[in-house]
Parts: sequence; C-alpha cells; structure tokens
Amino acid sequence: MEKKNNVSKPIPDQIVEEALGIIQEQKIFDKETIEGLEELWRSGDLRRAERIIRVIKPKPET
Amino acid sequence: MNILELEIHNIRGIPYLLLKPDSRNLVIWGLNGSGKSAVVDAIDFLLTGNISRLIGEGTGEISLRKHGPHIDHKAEEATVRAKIKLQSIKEPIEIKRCIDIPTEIEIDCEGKYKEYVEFILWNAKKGQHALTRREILKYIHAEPRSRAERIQDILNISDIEDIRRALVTVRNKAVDEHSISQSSVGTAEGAINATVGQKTYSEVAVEEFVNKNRVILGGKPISEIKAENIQKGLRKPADFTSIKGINANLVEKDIENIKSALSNENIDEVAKNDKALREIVANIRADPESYKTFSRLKLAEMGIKLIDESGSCPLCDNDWKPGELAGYLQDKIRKGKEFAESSKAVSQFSSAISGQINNIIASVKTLVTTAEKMGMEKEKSVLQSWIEEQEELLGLLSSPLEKYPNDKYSADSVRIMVAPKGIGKTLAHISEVIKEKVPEATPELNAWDALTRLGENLKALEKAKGNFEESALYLKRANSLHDNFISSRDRILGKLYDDIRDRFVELYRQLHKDDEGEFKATIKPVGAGLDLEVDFFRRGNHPPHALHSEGHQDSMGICLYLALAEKLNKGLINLIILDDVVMSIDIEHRRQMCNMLAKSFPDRQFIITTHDRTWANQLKSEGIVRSKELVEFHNWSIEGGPQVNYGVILWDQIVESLDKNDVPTAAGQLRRGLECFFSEVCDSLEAFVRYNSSHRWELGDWCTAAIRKYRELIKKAKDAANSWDDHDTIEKLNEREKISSAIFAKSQAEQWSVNANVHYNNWTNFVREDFVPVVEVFKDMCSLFVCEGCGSMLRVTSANHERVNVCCRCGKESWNLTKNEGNKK
Repeated sequence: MEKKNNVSKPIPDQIVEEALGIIQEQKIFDKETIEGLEELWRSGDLRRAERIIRVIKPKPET
Repeated sequence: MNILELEIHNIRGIPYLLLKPDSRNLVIWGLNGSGKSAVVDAIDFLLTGNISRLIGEGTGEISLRKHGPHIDHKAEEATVRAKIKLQSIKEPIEIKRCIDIPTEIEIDCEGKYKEYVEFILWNAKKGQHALTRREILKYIHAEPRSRAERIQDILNISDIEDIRRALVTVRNKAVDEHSISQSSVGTAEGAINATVGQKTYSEVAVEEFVNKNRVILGGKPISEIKAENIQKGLRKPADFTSIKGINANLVEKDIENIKSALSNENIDEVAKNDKALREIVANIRADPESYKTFSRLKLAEMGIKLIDESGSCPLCDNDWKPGELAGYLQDKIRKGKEFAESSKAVSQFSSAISGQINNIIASVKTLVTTAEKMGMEKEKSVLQSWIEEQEELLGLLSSPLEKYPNDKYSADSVRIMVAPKGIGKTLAHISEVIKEKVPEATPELNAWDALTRLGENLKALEKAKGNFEESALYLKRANSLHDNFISSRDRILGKLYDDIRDRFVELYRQLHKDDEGEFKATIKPVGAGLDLEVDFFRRGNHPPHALHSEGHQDSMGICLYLALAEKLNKGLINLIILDDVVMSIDIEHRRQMCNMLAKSFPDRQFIITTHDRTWANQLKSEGIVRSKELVEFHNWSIEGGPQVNYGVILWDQIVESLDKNDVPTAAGQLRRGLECFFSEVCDSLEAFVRYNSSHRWELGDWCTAAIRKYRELIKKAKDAANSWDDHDTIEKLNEREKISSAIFAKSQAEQWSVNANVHYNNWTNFVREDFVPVVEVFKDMCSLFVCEGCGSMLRVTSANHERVNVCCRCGKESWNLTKNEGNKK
C-alpha cells in the first residue's frame, strides 16, 4: 500500500536491518545464515532463541 | 485514523450512546461518576479488544467478559461500533467489536483496503492512543526500568527488548556449548594419554606409540596419525587368550595409569592449582566492576584514540576538563588489562586441574567396562560414582568464573574427589581378578588391542575437535549478532530519545514559559532502564518527582506522552485520548495547554474527558473544540447511563420531543441546554453570578446574570457612542435594546424569583401548547448573545485592565465601550 511507505519505518525494523547489514560483511556469516535471520525477523521469530540457534549454528559435516 | 462516529451499546456504565465527532476534537465533561471514562473504555475496547482499566495490578478478580458489559447486559449485547476515516482512503470505514468475541473485529470496507485497515488496527491494538492520569504517573514517578518498559511499549519497541533477551540466551548457550566442547577435547586427549601412557597430550608421543606397535605387528611406520590409518596394512593376530574381549595387559596399564595420576606428587599439584584458582576467582568476584571494565576494554582503547584537544567526549559530547577523560579511560584500560591477566591465570589453573582429571577419567571408564564384563558389580558401582563426581567437577571447571567453586566442594573435598579414599583397594581387587582369570596375551595381540583402543580414542578426539570448531564459529556468530544488535540499538534508540527529549522540552517550555522558560531535561538509557531527569529552576537535574509540584509533574507527563505520541505511527493513528489528565494543573497553565494542543498538534484528533467545567470551557474558548463537540454528561443512572447535553441547544431534539408530546423531556433538554449556554455567556461577558459555596449554579443564576450584564453593556456602549457622536451606532444599539427588552420580558426570566408560576421548574408541568412559545422565546433570546454572521458568542475584550469592547470572532459585532474623554457631553 502506497501510504504505508510514507510512514517512517518502525524502530525495531531500523535496528535489526542495520545490525544485519553489518554482519553481512563478516566472513563468519554465510548467505544462507543471513537469509535465515532475515526470515526470522520477517516472521517475528527473532525473539525466539531456539529459532536463532537453529539458523546460526553451523551444520555438522557429514 | 480519526473517529467520525462512535456508537456504544451496553459497555460499562453506558447502555447506549451515539457520538459524532466527525474527525474533530471532542470534549466530554461531567462530574465524577457521570460515565465519561466509559467512553474511553469503549474506544479502548474497540481498538485493542481489551479495556486497559480492567487489566494490570489489582484487577485479579475483574474480567473483561464479566465487567466489560453494562451490569444489566450480557457480553453478546455489549458492542462498540465506529465509523473511522483513514488518511489514504476516501470512504469512511466501519469497524465493530463485541465483548462476546473480543479478539475479532468486523471491518466493513472494500476488499482492496482490507490489508491496510488491518495493518492500522494492528498498530492501534498496542493501545498507545490513550493517556490517563494513572499513565502519567508511570512516566514520571516510575523506576527507570518500568519507565523504559512503558516508553518502549508505547513506542512499539518492546520487541527490541524481546530480541535482546533472545540474543543473550543464544550467546549464553553458545558459551556453554563452547565450554563443553572444549572440555570434550580435553577428555578425548586424556583418553589418548591413558592409552599411550603419557602425562600430557603430545602428537609426537602418539606417533611413536603407533609406530612401536606397528613394528611389533610387522607393519611399516606411518607419519599421518589418523584413526583410519593406524591399523592400515596390518593383520589382526590370532587370539586364543582373551576372555570377553578383555586384554589383561591393557587393563593393567589403565590401573597403572590411574595409580600414577593418584601419586602424592600429582594430587599435591591438583591441590596447589585448586588453591590458586580459588584465590583468583575470589578476587575477581570481590570486584564485580572489573568484569564490566574488561568487557569494555576494547571500547575504552578505541575511545581514548578519539579524544581531541578539547578533551570532550566524542560519544556523548559531554564536556570534560582537558586530560580528565583520557585519565579516566586510562584507568579503565589498566583495570581491564589487570582483569585480562587474572582471567588468563584462571584459564591456566582450571585447565591444569581438568587435564589431570581427564587423564584419570579415561582409564576409569575402561575399567568400568572391564568390571561389568567380569561381573564385578560392587567395583563397577564404586568406579561409576567416581566418574560422575569427576564429570561434575569438570563441568564447574569449564566456566570457572561463573561456577567454581560451589558450596559442595571445599579444597579438601576436591582433593578427595580426585583421589577418593579406598580407591586403591578397588583397583587392586580388579587387578587380582584379571590376573587370575584372564591369560596373558601375546605381544602382537597386546599391540593390536592397543592400536584398536587408540583408534577409538583418535576417532573421539577428531569428533571432539570438529565439535569444538563448530562451537567456536557458533560462539563467534552469537557474539557478533548480539554485539551488533546492541550497538545498532544504542545508536538508533539514542537518537530517538534525543529527539523525544528535545520535543518534550519544547512542549514543556510552551506550557511553562512564564516560570520555566529555560527548562532542560535528560533522557538516557541506563542498562535496561531509562533515566529521566529534569532541570529544577537552573539548580541542576533531578528526578521529575523530586522537587517539582504535582501540577508541574502532570504537565511533564502530558508533554512527554505527546512527544512520544508524535513518534507513534505518524499518519496512521491520529487519535489521542486524554482522560482527565489536568487535575493538578492550574488554570493559567491549562490555557497554555490549549494553545499548545492547537499550535503543535493541529492534525491530531483529541478526545478529552474532564470533570472540570472551567477546563472544558477553556478548550472551547481557545478553539480546541466547537460548541457542538463539547458534550456534557450528567445525571448518570444504571438503567439510563449518562444524560448527554451537546453544548449547543439542540433545538431539533426539543422539537422532536414536543412532536411526541413529551414535554418533560423537551423541558429537560431546554433547561440543560440553556444552563450550559448561559454559563458560557456569563464567562464571555464577564457577568457576575451570585457566589455560593457549593459551586453549583442553576439556570436562574446564569440567565438573570447574563441579562443584567447584557443590559449594562448596551448602556455602556451607548454612552461611549454618544461621547463620539456616533449616531448610527446609537441608533443600532437602541434598536437592539428595544428588541432584547421585548424578548427578555416575554421570557419572564427576570420574574422567576418572584413568580413561581413562571419559574422554569414548572416547565415540566406545561402542556405542549404552553411550552412551544417558551422554546421560541428562548431561541430568540439565545440569538441575542451570538453573532449572526460567524455564530460565535459575544465577548468582552479588555486592554490595560479596562473593558474596551464587546465583539464577536468575525468582527461583525463590535460595540465600543471606551468613551471619548475629550467630549464632556
């Protein structure tokens, strides 16, 4: 909706987007992890520790 | 979002009410218990699905379902409907909610707008549009933490705290996992040490051990030591001796290994390390600030490089004397480095003890298996208990600063745990049984079994190292995510709080320009809280409730709320409800508040409730609301709810009542309307109303005082016009006097006190035919006090304490009251 865009972005969005922008530049995070974190934020699950752990914990090599 | 129309059915004290603010401000005034707050509750319920007054502290026995509906009605009969206007949608939208299903809201609008409307209602659900006096206290009197929670909630940023908590949990779990995986590497190395017969882990010693055994088995030496390599190219020798897969030689080695680890020399070393570890941990704990300083060591090191010649802080811009900030940071860096040294020593001592335990534990574990195979239940149980205690101790040593030592373990008990009394006997018994029952294996079989066990140990070490690397990456990610989130939060919230502070100060100065025109404030996050301090007459900053009066505190609460409200979903929800919030603010500052609302918030729709008639009238006279939008609630009853008087006399409603031949209702409507009207006339013409201590005046008091003043002002205006030889005005005023006198006479208002038959108390007993002329004459009388052109009430204006004019807002009516002093006529 056009009008939505005229509204200043909610503060939590600004903070999370800035933080994710910074970590994107760090080698310890791969693309998949960043996308996973973005998805958590979109779905409101960034407040759930177990979901975050599932995303950032490296998968064991098989 | 603005409210065009609000219809309430059976909510709290209101059986039915229809209000039509039409996007404009609305003021509801009435005495306590007149039902005003029920309107606030109804809006609250419509937008949020709850009534905030019914939840929270002290409301345990109260429920929305039971206490939200009107006392005589059920939840399914309790509804609120509103016609609302959204900024970007031309057509009004209807929304409706019922207490029976409070979580559902009916939205009546075109499908294409649905998502947008839902989005706005989702925002409105936060319930940030209403300010009550109780809320003000939450901003002003609150502890920093609860103030932060309330403000974060109202700014829709409580999510941030939830995320922070989740990230802290993630980081803590990552730290724990990293410690455990680090400890697992130690345990795996300990198992290799036990197999190889070395005290500390060494790859060279392992390689030598592998190749020594490979030679016995006729194999070639290898240099790449891996689990899958060490038996490569070798054949398992024939085995005619082992019983239940037990190699007597390896069992004996395990027993020797344990005995060696339990030698006095080794145990003394454990005790020495334990003592040193306890001392350092105790020192660190005695100075909790040191950990904080250490965690900010890098920040302090970066900060000291950024200080310029002025010496002021590059982060907060606070002024420091030259050299003072650098000295302060240098002290912090020194303390941080001291802590780093201590922390390193903690790690060294705890690792030394853990290594010792790991060396023992690996051999004990294999002895447990042997005891089990040999049916030695008692020995197995003793050894297992020993392992459990040692593993518990390892757990504490994995995070020594947080966990070590706990109450269970004194210095002596650690010594005993590492080398329990009587363990020598158990080991000796196992050794005897094995020697007796398991034949000596060949050197080749011993070599093969040793390599087999080493292979298992190496596999465990490889796995532990893999886990350790993963946990290290996991920890780095968790730390980075947490730290970056916190720094972004601090930066963005810092800016937000600065903006709010500036606006808060600006608004407060508008209200208190006469006494606190230089007012200053600070709002800053401290930990999870939010400190609010305000300047007290240039005598420094103090908490807002420390020195300021209650009235000033209320002003601060309102200004802070309004400053916050500006940050809320700008353009989405323009509605602000102020529920009886000016109780302690004096009359002059209330006037300033009207100015502030009009000047600083022209686009907001305010719904204001008050029990104070003067404030209600101020809101009207200062242009915050028109007469139509100032409604009075009075004579509340359980069955009927509040009676509503709409500020202007609703002649149509009176006619409607008369059409139904309902003279008592029409009489009541006329009387309440006239009371309200003439009280305003008295205010605007500065008429004298006879004082009474109950502060309750009736129509007779207002109306006669207004008539008297009107006559007096016409006379004054005529005298003034005469002194200026202004014949036209004299003629107009004469005409006005003639007409008004006729109307006043017809109304018989001036005879109310002497003739009971014409008194307004008797209107209810009139028949319709008698009452219609009364209505008409009072309609004419009211028009005398109002400008025909702009509809505003005539008002006396003053200059230098002298009444100089009677005028309306548009200037069409203007009676000069100042005489020409040069004309002696």
